[in-house]
Amino acid sequence: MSSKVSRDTLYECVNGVLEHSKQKKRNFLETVELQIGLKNYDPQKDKRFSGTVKLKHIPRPKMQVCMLGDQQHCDEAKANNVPYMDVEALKKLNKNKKLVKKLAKKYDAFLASEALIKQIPRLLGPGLNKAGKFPGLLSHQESMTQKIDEVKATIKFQMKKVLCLSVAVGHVDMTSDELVQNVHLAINFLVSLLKKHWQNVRSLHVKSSMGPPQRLY
Amino acid sequence: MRHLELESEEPKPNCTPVEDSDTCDNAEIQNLFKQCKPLLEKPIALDQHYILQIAGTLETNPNVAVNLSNNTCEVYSLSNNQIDKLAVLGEHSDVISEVKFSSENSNLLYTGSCDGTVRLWDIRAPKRSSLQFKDTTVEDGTIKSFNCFDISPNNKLLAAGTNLFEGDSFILFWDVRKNSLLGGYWESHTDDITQLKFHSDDSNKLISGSVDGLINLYDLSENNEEDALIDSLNTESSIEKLAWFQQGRNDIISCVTHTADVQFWKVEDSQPYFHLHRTEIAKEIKRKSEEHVYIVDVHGGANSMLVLAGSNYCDGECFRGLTVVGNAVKPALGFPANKQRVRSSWSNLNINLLLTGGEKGILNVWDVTTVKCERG
Repeated sequence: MSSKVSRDTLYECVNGVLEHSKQKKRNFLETVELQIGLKNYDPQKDKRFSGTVKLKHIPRPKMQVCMLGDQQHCDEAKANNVPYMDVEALKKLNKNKKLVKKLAKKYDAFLASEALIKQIPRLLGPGLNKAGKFPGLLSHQESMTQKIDEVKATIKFQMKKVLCLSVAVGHVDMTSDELVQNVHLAINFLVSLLKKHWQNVRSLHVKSSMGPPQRLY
Repeated sequence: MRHLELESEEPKPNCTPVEDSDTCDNAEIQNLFKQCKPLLEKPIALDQHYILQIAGTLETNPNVAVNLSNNTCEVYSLSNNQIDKLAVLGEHSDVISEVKFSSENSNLLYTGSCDGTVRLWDIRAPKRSSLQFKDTTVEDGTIKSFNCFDISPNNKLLAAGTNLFEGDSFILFWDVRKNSLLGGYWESHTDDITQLKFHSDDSNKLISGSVDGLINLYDLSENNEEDALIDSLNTESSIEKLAWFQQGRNDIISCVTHTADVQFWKVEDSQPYFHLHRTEIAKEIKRKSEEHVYIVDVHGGANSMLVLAGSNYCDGECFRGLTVVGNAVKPALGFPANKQRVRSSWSNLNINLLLTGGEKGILNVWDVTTVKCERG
């Protein structure tokens, strides 16, 4: 797809965001967001604009992923310093709502082995579903660390009734190259899901949590 | 970064073939895709309204309900390539999200809407709906808007799925005959519920799909939601459409996502047995640009499934069908007379009938005679 945002503009805006955050250091790691305003789009009748997109660089490095593993995956998790639970530990929760809720709160996301993932509703009830943290599958053909990085790099987006949405594409400790690549990938993917592509885009901005928005388009 | 280029000075004309076109010449397209004849083309919605959904009955001369974006539903009878209007159902005060005929009686039609009601109509007396189903537990003035609903195969149970309402999204159940709210589930999804589908011959088996990416399978014979939830399939996307199919002894679920992928699941598996990505769909419908691909729906028979997809390019005229057998996909149908971005389709493949409707408000009736010849 031909992009409407030049490479120069992208770097200019991203650098603007980074410089501003350096001038005014916050005592937390600021997130970098991409904000999209839409036009010629009617949420009443046009297709929903929602889904997930996998970015190139991890936007949320502090995300904690817990492995719900079979024996082999638990051993691998232990070796890689990844938090894990086996089926016995899950059984101990005994479908107790409070305990499942506590588990869901403790981690940002979960992965599960093939043997476990089908048992989760029976072992834990709907607790993880309700928290929006039902595990993804880790098969034995995949690398655990790679899959965890994939989970961390995948972001959700969803437009509700207002014609704008914001997605977290990175943080202010990333290099401008990394941020530019993430922003670029996110823009291209999101625009491709709009039926009239750039004709549906009113505006594009990048901003850090506390900084002013920089206009890309 | 290969896509990044400086914006050209002159704005490009709207529909240059640079952005999207076929990957092969027209002769090959005609050779690969059996060109389906339009039996009928009827403009239905005016004033830029869309056809959002189509439903039909199973007779040779079916009744057809067309759900329009102006909050009304029109009902037609279709026979001998002729279409006659039977009724306009105009009671809903918000978008109608789904329409469905009763499997017992082709004169009975259900419509579900974001106005917080599912209504049952007798199309012989279309002035007023004959029954209304709504959440009777909410305060006056608040509305749980319905995105989807389904009726159990024994016609006793109505289930409707809501948008997020004060932090929860609900599946509500009614006894159809008594018109009474039986209860609901609200623990198994975190976001708007977009699809509910009963298994075609088990009234206790229900799947739900949501923007949160989960397909949940429930056994409604259990007493509470905790025990009823027997499986969650994580599509890791956002769910637009779900359908059940039976192939041999296997129950198969097809899932169309909002990111233009199609996944096929066997209920007992922990991952889709076939994931048809947008890239592959573009390749198989012989289009250059993956970025323009959109999916309409999946239709099926005993041996093969039909995936309908198109290109958003220009007005979305390019609209084609692919057959899927197991995890093999190949070109099948072409609809050269299509003029619009298709939003909904309904089929009765036993009589080679396919109906489509879309964003120009046109209803098309197609003869799809080849589909049945596809054997796995």
